[in-house]
Amino acid sequence: MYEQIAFYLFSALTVGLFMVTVLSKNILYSMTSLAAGMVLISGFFFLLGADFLGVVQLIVYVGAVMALYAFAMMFFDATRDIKEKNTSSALVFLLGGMAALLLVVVFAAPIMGENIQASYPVIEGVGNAESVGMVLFTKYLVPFEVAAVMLLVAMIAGIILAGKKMDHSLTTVDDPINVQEETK
Amino acid sequence: MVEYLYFVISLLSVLGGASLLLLLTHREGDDLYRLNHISVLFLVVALFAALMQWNLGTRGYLLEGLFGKVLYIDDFALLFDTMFITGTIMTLLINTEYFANRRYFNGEYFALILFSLFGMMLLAHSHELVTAFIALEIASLSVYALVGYHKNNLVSIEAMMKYFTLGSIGGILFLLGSVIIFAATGSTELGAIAQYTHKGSADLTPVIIGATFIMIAVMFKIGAVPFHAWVLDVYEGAPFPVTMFMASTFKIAIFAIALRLYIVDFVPMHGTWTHLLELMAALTMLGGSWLAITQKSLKRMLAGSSIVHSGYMLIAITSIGLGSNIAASAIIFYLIAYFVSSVGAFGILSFISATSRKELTYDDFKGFSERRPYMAAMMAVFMLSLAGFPSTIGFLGKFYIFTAAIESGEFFLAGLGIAMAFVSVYYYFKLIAMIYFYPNKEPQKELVFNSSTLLIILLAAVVVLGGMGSGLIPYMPSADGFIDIATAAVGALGTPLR
Amino acid sequence: MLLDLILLAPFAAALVGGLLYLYDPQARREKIYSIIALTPVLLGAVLSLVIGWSFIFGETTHIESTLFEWLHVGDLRIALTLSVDRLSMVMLFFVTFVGALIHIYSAGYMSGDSGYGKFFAYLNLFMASMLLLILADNPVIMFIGWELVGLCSYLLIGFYYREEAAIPAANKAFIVNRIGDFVFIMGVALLFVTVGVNGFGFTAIEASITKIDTAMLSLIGLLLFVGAMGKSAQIPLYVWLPDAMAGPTPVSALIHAATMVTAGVYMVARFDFLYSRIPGVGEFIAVIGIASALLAAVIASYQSDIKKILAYSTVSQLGYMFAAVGVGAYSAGLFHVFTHAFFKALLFLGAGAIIIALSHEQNIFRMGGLRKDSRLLYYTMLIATFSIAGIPPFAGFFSKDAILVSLLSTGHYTLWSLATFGVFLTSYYMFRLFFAVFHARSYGFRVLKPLPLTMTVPLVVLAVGTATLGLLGVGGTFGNFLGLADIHAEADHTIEYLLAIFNLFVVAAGAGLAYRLFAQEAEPPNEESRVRRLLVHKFYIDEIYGYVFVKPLYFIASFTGNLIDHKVLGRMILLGVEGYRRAGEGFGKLQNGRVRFYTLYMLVGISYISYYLLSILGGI
Repeated sequence: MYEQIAFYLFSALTVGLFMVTVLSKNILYSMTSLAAGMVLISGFFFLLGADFLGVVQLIVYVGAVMALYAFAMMFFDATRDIKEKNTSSALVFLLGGMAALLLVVVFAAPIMGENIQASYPVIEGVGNAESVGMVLFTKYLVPFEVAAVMLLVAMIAGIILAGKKMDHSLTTVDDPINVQEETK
Repeated sequence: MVEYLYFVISLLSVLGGASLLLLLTHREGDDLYRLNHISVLFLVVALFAALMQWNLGTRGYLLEGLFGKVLYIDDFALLFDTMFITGTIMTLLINTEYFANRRYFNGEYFALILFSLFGMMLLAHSHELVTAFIALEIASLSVYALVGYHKNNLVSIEAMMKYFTLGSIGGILFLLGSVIIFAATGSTELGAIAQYTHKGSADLTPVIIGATFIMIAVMFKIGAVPFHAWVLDVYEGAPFPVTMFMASTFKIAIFAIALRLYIVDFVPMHGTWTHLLELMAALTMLGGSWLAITQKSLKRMLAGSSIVHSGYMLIAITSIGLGSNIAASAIIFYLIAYFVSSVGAFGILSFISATSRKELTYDDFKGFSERRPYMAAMMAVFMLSLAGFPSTIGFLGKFYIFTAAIESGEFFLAGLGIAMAFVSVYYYFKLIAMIYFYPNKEPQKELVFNSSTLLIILLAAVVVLGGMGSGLIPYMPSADGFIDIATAAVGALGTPLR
Repeated sequence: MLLDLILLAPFAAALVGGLLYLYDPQARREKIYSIIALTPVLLGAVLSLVIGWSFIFGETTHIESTLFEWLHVGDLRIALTLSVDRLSMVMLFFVTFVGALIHIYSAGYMSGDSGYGKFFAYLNLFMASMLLLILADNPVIMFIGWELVGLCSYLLIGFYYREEAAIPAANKAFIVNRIGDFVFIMGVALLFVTVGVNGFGFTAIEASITKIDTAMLSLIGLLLFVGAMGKSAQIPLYVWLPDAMAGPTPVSALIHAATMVTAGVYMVARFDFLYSRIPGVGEFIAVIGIASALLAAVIASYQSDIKKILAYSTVSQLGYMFAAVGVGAYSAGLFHVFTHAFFKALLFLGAGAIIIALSHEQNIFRMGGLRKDSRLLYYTMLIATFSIAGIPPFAGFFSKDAILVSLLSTGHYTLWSLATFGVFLTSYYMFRLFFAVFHARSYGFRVLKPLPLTMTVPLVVLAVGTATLGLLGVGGTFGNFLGLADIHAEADHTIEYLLAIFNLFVVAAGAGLAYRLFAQEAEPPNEESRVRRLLVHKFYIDEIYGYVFVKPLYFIASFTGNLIDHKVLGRMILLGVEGYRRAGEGFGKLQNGRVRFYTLYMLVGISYISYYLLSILGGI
């Protein structure tokens, strides 16, 4: 009973907050409501008994949104409203409608299948983090390790694309201004 | 056991090479030749290790006790390994001059290429959806970065952003599909999924939905209409070596996992997709050739034509679904054929553009035969092969695909495919006409002969040999040899082909 | 191993020489080129001598060597296997030996030519191809050699591509040969269809030849022979050979006299087991052979170009060979192939030397009196002429005599009498040439160019060969050694001797006539009477072919080209092309470069697929 009430409450709040994220014209409002929505999503995990994932959700997404927040503060004039350049609102609705249809299909699938059962059901007495760890370090050892390579690649890619003048360090040359002109 | 060792050597050599290159990159300054040669060295080791285990009949999981059923070794995966590594070596060696003439290349470029190769090899060997996803993402992330490598060039950056945005959607779809399959079957391991789908009693509906999403991701990667739109812009924006790498090597990578899934795990669901695949194959061939005929830039033309080639492969996939015996080997043969021809074609383009800054168009090739007679002949060979001209490997590839289509009763698709092949003659032969039938305007340049030239000649020889009889030259696979390789690779998948 | 080396060395030399030439066509490197070209050929000659030694004095009857499997499609397994038995040993011997001599000769003959390297690359390629043809263990590989020699012949006829006559001559040779080759491959294909399943080597075919019924066998035999007609220049496909003389003279000697043109005879002998089962086809071959021999001999009697005369005489001699193999006297035919290779090569090389010495004069009626100028040429040519005319003890006498005896003893009296008339004509036109060149009144003062040693030595060696090698045939030694499926109809020895003496009279008559007409005052044939004009113009065969085959083809081609293709089909295609291009431009508009549109396309696709799935799974 409480679970259901909590579920619907969280659902309503999450949907509402994400609506704000999409519709708000102020970037800070969007960011804030996004972060709040993410927090509320972690509520679902806790409801399902997946404590570990709930915490991960909080740390990863809220953390990520905070970083986004910081960037938004730095790059945009927070006092000004965002004006969207939408030539045709019909297109927006078409896109949205199709995405919605897609979601319906995705979520309808397991219901149509009707034989969903948890592969790794929550075991009483064993910590949630522990069971995640068990799976992660036995069955999914390779993907877990290879994910490290993926992160490395992502990092390198980010550095390459964002970093400028990596071959020149401004601290080691005497006249920084000349170097800047040289590399232009 | 020793064959596992070979595999580990080949995989670790690539990964180790990539890591070492990262360390070396800022040590030497601008010595790109050296870094290039170091990466090629590692790749050659990997290639040898991969070739050593070929045809040993190995089929099994790598260190099952430790890793679980995640990495699988068989001839199918090894064939892809070989193609990936060869493609990468070609990309690096043919473009030596290109790198040297561009300031924006540095050591990380080679590291990223090797990382991408690592991802692709992992993808070919992965027998588990999460691993496959991560492998795919490793490969894709590296390629995204490579596309935008020329970061002072707005076109390059824009191409990267486009590719990144759209590619993420593709990746998400793959993940989504995997999740739904996991939900339905309770496992992400391909063997378990296959057991589930072949059980007969199970309800396949959620698996079909999940599998469809995975297939959409595949369609995106191979640029099937309507998921094709990125192809032209990205190919055009990327630096030439990267375009070459993408069009030849990265493009076939996705088939490594897609075919494994499609031929083994999704067999009971083939019927569901028939109409979808027919439609998509037809659209892809038509759309690709529509895009290709109107282009002036050669990169864009080849991009469009690569969409058409995806269409041919979709015909073969449709035929597999309809129970054609030869379709599976046909598609592998086609992959080999396309791989060789496109490496060659893009190789020549980037070889030529090494010294010029502008975009290569048809007009730039006027009188090319007088400037570089041998290179012109090679280009003609590759164009003939891509167009599917007899006595080239491309012809046999198309021939097998159409045979498979007719065998499975897909007369319409076979007919359309042949029609599209005729249309493709227009845009490929236009280049040959430019090369041979127009007067030379530019002054004669000094002919250089280096390793790039040699490799291109070698590729052209493979293209021609692959289209002819067999064993003209001992130890060099020709048409028969390639068919045997394709059959062996398909046989390794362990499907009830006959 | 020996065999591989014999075959692969000239291939490799052709490759190396060719690449070296391509690398810098202008460079003068005659020494290097000739070393590259001569080494494998001389090596081949030595090795074939070694093989011949082991055949003659050892127990060896068969050597085989498989290089690799060349083709494997369904039942068709073709390995590149080389094999030597006694038949191919003989061919191998004279091809490498004569080939080596002609290579040496060419080194002197071609000296100073800008295409020196190219020439030797082609010549080596030809040697390799010819050896492939001879050594092939199955008809398919043989066909490859067959085609390759045709190609080399084409390349070498057109070698002086700047001269007006060379290109049409090369094309003519190639096209006429292609006609023959096409029919030949049909024959091979039929043979494969009927017996190919049990292996397709010559021995395997021989073993299963009884499975084919006679009608089919006759068809196969005929088809194969048409191929031989093309390659060995028999009626009606002989027209290319006289024109082929546009090539350099050593080429004419090697390809168009000694080796390639005898491939047809060799092929028929190789298939002796097949042809001995179908005597009807054999007789047809013999008739064609004699007809060619007579026709060519008549034409040769009215020509004035030295090389043309020799070309027609080649056609004529090939006719004799076919007559022999046609009536089943394979070893007699092969013996004539063998001796002919020597004396005809000698004649051509001598002619080449004369032409070089006279600064490219080819008309025999403008030579005259050469006897005093060059003793060497005089005597070598004399030996060759004696040999071809059939005067003992020179080689031609024995082989030609063997053919005539076999014609008579198998009961083909008409053919025999025609052949004897041919002998008369041969003697006449050869001595006509000889007297006109060496004896007739000199055509004014001239200075002969000195001939290099590389040209004179081969002449002498060939002359010695021509003078002596005929003795191999005495008492049937040659035939016994070959061991082919000859049809034996032993003639009485008395008749044989009488026949030989009779032939001598015939030869003497021809020679005497020629002496009377040409030894003092050599006059070119005039075209006064209608018959003579016919003869001088080679029976207008070329013109007739032109009217019957070429002109109608041109007409059909231009009709379809100008009207149907251009006006009807072209318009239709243009219409389609335009529509397609429009469609392409329309589709290209979708490619507007905006990511959100691209995403939209993807979403449209995904949505459609979702809808499709729903309709299939959910029954919507």
